[in-house]
Amino acid sequence: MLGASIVTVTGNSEAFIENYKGMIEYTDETILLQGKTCRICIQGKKLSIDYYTNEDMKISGRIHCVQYL
Amino acid sequence: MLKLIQYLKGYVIIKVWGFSPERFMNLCSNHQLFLWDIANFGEYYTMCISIKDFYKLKTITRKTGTRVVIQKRCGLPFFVPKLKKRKVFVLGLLGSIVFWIWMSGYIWAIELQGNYYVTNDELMAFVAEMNIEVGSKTSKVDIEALEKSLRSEYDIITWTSARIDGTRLVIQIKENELTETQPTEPTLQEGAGYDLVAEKDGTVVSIITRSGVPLVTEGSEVMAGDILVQGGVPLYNDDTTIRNYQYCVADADIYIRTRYQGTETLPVWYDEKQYSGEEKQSPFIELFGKRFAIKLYRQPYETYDTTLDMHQLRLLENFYLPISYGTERVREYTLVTQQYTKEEAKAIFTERTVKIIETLMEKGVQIIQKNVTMKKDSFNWYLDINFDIIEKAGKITPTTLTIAGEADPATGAPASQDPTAQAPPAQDPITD
Repeated sequence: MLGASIVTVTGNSEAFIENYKGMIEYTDETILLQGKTCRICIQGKKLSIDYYTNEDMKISGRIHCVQYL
Repeated sequence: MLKLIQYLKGYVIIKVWGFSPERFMNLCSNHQLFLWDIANFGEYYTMCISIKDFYKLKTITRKTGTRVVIQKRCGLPFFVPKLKKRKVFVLGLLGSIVFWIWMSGYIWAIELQGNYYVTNDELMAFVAEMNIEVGSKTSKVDIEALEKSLRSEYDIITWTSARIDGTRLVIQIKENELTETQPTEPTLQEGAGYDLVAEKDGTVVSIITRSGVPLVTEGSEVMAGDILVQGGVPLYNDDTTIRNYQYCVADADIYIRTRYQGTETLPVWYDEKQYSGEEKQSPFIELFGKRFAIKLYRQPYETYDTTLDMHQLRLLENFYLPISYGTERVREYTLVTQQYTKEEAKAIFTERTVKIIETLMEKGVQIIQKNVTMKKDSFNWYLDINFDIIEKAGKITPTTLTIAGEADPATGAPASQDPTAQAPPAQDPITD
């Protein structure tokens, strides 16, 4: 599907996200991303971003839930 | 790999706070500025950014209204200027590297393996003669020549292998173990006659002749010097007189029963070192073969033993350094004259007898009866050894068989063809 975001979660500690427009909110408990079709909300504890580029990003920390808004 | 590149290029850890840090990050990624290790600390964020990208941040911060402060500088571009301030340290580092490389071109230890007969000192002296010493250049050591000369100098060495392990020269040799047991056989001349002669008195137990004429049979008594097998087969005339001898090398397996006699002596009195338990230790360092001892005392003893406990420094397995350290121990003793008791003397003699028996057995001698007696006078203990043994007999000796004026045993030529036949018999060249 064209423009859809790809979220790859490894266990509950790592998540790779591709195809997004940008970040709306980042605290250590919530990361809210603007995708091309919808928003993605990742909630957890001690969330940190290992790297952040235009195409993809890697989130690590303890992930509790991945929500599509 | 990525970490290494990041380190080489250099990066900074920045602290970001202000109106909208999220927007700051979005703009960074839109401008192809790579951010990593982003963490949130409530009101501010920290992240890593490469130096090159850091200089492009200005417009973004102005746009987003965030503030950026460098928290820490990491990587080689920041490290090198620091080193420039510490010139002596860098010089020392480079100096030590050059020093190690330079030192590894020399030999700092010579190790000998496999020598039993030739002593270490002797071999070391020989190796030193070849201009190979501790401290000589590795590139100047001609291993092939060393191996060759070792083999040619010492007959007993049958195999050599030298190799350089790091800064250590390892010389492995193999000695010929048979040389001692092999008797030197007289060089036999072609066409001459040789007898087998008894070396000891005894009784012949068995005889098997392969060549020559046996003069003894089983049971005959022989004396030392008697001919056992004659090295010439007689050729008879028609009138049964001996015309000539056909000379040969006598060969036979002859076993005679004989007596092995020997005496062992042991002085009754002997000096024994009695250590008083007093000892002094002093450390020392040896640099390039020169020893520097740190002596904390003056020599207090009259008679003493000195033992050295020495270690050579090395890097890893094979990089030996010309530095050794260790301790020198001086132990005091007093000489006490002691007397062997009968039991002690007996024990020592038993040990020696066992050794004698072992050497006899090695020679293939069969021992029938053992007879030993111990005696003592005021100075010595004596052990008389009397063994009844069966041993192989017969020593090759040039034959004395000649018919006066007829033939020379060495050449074996009949006299009739000899123009000097009438002259008195020439001296036997072999018996010389």
